[in-house]
Amino acid sequence: MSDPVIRAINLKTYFPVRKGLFRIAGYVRAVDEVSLEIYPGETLALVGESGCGKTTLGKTLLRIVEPTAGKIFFKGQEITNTDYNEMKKLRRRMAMIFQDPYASIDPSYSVFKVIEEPLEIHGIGTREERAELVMKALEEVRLIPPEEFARKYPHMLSGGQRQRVAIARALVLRPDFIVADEPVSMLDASVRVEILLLLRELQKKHNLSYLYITHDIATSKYFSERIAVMYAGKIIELGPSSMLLKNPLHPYTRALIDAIPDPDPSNRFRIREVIKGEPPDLSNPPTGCRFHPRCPYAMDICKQVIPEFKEYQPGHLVACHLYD
Amino acid sequence: MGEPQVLTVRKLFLHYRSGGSIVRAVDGISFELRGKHAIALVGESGCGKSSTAIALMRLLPPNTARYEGEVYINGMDVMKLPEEEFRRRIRWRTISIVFQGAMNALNPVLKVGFQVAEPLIHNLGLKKKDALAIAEEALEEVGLPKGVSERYPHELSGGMKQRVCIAMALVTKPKIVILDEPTSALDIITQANIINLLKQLKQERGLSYIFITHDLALSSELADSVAVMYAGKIVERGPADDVYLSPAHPYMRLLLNSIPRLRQDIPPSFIPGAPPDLRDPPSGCRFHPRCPYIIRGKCDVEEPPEFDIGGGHYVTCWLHGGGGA
Repeated sequence: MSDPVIRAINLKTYFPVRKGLFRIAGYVRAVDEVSLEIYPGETLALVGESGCGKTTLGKTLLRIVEPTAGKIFFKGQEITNTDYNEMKKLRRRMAMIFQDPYASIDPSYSVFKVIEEPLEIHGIGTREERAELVMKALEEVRLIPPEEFARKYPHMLSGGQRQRVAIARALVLRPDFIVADEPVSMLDASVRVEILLLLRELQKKHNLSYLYITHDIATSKYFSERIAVMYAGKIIELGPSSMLLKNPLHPYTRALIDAIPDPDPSNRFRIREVIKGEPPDLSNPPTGCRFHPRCPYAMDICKQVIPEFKEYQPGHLVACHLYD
Repeated sequence: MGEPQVLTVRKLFLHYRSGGSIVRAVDGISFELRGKHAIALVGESGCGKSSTAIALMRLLPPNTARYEGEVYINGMDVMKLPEEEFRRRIRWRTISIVFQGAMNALNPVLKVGFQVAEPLIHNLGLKKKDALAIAEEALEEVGLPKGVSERYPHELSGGMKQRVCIAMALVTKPKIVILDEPTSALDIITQANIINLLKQLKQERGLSYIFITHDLALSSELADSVAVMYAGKIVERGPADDVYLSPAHPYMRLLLNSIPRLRQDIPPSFIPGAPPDLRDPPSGCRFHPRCPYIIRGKCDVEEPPEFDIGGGHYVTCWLHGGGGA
């Protein structure tokens, strides 16, 4: 396998919880000892419930949020402590797409300006060259004719079109790695598929790597090579998408899959098996395995010892004492 | 088929004024709901699902331009009732609603128990003390721990807040409950827990639901029958087994193809184009500009009527009627 585009080793992102003005009362452990790699041309889906730390992990990989400990490598180069100027240069080659295309795009900017801005910030090209790049980016995301869409303002666009603008903005700098944070969760089912297929097509064309952050396992089945499942700040299972979905190892992964319905009218006749409780408070997570208070298979060891994240089958990793 | 109809809707319209034009949000829809049954009202955002809920609850915004049709509840046309009587006899008491995003609209400075008791005080005229006692019971019935009535919304998780909203819709003991995207802001596991609760409540209390959602997988969790909306119209309706397993309208077929399935390997596809502007819907069948099966000179000109294709399954599409029916 080729070298990873992104590699994280024992990454931690803690946020201080302050009491009063100065005293730090504790930490929210949003990302806790996470290691992963993302390879060229690959989509790694990062699935989990809200508050599990998946967005923080995505932002930490781009150093939009600073890591507390651990190491980040981008194309083999360590970027954990890279200074501002050097990081700015590297940022050309990474981008982020956000969940809410209504909030992530400045409503006072024309579509042209939204996409041109990153080029300007990085001092790329003359005015004419930039205009050409913007038009090309609009064509790539199929906002056609580009001249017409370039003149529009965000409020004149549908949700799907706005997300296309956000993708064009992310792509215009020709990045190698994109963090897509719930890029389709606010869209209707059909538009969702349309946008995910577009992202896939652009990935092939430019050999892009994606971290696809989502709570929707069903889309990750069709739009990712591998899936990582996150719970309470930790990745608890990771493997090739089809393998992980056919043979989920971690009880939490199983619970997530079991909770998702397919369109099937016989669903109405049964009560679904669902785990109880809520994910823990990340400023005071449970000891041992963080899932143990909700786990139907919890053993004594689960309450005391943090399970190691290790390979169960080639490429399929899990952090669970059931597989010790 | 057993249970009698508790709700019959005939040619219901709700249009809004917007700028200089008319938005035809609900444009002459008809459907029925049997006792102890759930009908799912499905479709993409902006198709008129939530406006249908507003029309049934008669909670009309000030820019309403047209509101008419027949709505029979237990045989009586409630559209004929004056507002005062509708408020006393129908709204909350017979038909209630869990609004979309309601869990984020709870009053942050009022205790949960009081908020659940409010419809009892305002609509049913109960004394505060009695209302609070009933609210307490309702909160327990939706699976919340004792003492939750004394707490404030910010002290509760999303799933608990949604349970409060369900308790609020049930506290007046209605027979019909409208659920407008009742789980859309919740996580997968919490969503599954809430759906289980809704299934149990339907069983135990003999409730009928109108389940409004854009999620065709989720709707199959509750729906005994399905009505598919597109651009202000119901284009297909019928028993859940028929509509899910042999969808008759091209829109419903394509919409089902766009759902990624976890337990089958069928790569999802999308419907090219976008739903129309309800201020200026297309002539003929409103889906014709996106339909791969369009009959030129027919679908783009003449509006299709609703064709009965048997077993309570109706479809508004020329492919199923053409000359004969």
